[in-house]
Amino acid sequence: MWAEDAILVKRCLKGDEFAVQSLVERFQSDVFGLCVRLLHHRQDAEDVTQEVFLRIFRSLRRWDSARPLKPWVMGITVNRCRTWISQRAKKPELVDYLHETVANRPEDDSAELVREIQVALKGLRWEYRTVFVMYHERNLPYEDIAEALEKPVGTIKTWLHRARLEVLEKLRDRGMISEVEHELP
Amino acid sequence: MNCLECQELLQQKLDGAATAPSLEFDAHLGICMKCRELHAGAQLLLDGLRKQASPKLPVDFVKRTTAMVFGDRRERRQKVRSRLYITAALAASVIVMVLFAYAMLPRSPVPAPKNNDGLAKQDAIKIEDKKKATPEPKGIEKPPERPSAIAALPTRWVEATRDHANVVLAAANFDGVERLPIDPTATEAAKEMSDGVRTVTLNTRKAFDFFAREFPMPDLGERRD
Repeated sequence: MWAEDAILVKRCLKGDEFAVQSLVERFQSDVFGLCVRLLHHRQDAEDVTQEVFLRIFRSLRRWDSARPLKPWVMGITVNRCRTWISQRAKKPELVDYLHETVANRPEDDSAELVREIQVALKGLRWEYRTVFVMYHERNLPYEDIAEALEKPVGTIKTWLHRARLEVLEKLRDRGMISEVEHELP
Repeated sequence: MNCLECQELLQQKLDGAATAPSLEFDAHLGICMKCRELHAGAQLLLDGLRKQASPKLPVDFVKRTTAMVFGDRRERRQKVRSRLYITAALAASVIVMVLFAYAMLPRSPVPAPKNNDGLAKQDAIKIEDKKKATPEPKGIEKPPERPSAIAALPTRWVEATRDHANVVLAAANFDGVERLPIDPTATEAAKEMSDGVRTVTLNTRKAFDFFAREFPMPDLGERRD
């Protein structure tokens, strides 16, 4: 897999348009998904996704081919989202960032549950939220998250465990958990 | 089983690991309401995350991004090229200014004596002896003995500094201290030297101002990328 990544990157550096397209296609859903969950705003997420790809191609030479590409890409995404949030904090907030666009809302009965999970996630610390989204939504293993955030695996596990407990407690506080739903593992 | 062990099982469940049902675990859930709620919530959370729709990008996103990447690459390449040209021009102008300043330095009033081929050997020795016997008059610069004028530059600077010191000491009118005689040649040399240095400094500063204005430092705000 890493060899494939290295070949793709080499072709991108040579200016192969098809390779650039392939790289964007390969990572666009992961990058955009992470941006949407971290920024809670679809349009901002789209802008940041474009910026992320611009930065990826600018610094592609600095990628260490001995390491996997995906954590490196996700690391850039997290850093860009953090910068964007700090810049947004300085500007007046004109939009309600809590709500996604109508098109992305699930239309069945689980809509409320999904929304409550998002509300609970938004209340988490930045690190906890990032790790939670990367693990549960982008399906990255602990090692890749550790690589992307440049933290030890132990720290990532601790953050994720705390994030889960906090989310569960918030769901319970908001009356989403009832004893009827209890299932034995 | 206590609450901590129960929470460890909860984390394993959320990690996706298969946890075998145990009597101890069931017994703990039977008596601990908090753990019971957490386990029920974990199942709910997994269901909710599974049902969550993955956000979709516009169809033309890849095309737009690719075009943007290539546009950015072209722009950056042009910027680097023009920066190279400006740097080369700046370096050339600095060299020209330094050479000009060097050419403006005061020259020695007495030409350096040379041993003429046609002169008799004894005459040449006589001239050398005469030179040694009579000390050089003060204020007149010593001619450069090395063939290269650039190699003689430090010597000239030393002498110019000595002359400048004479000027400064002469200008300082200490009470009760006898003033040193002012050498007009030294004063003139000092003036020319300072004029030259001022011109070079001014032009260099202008050039650097232009360079800094046209090519600001890149944004280093980003941590990793």
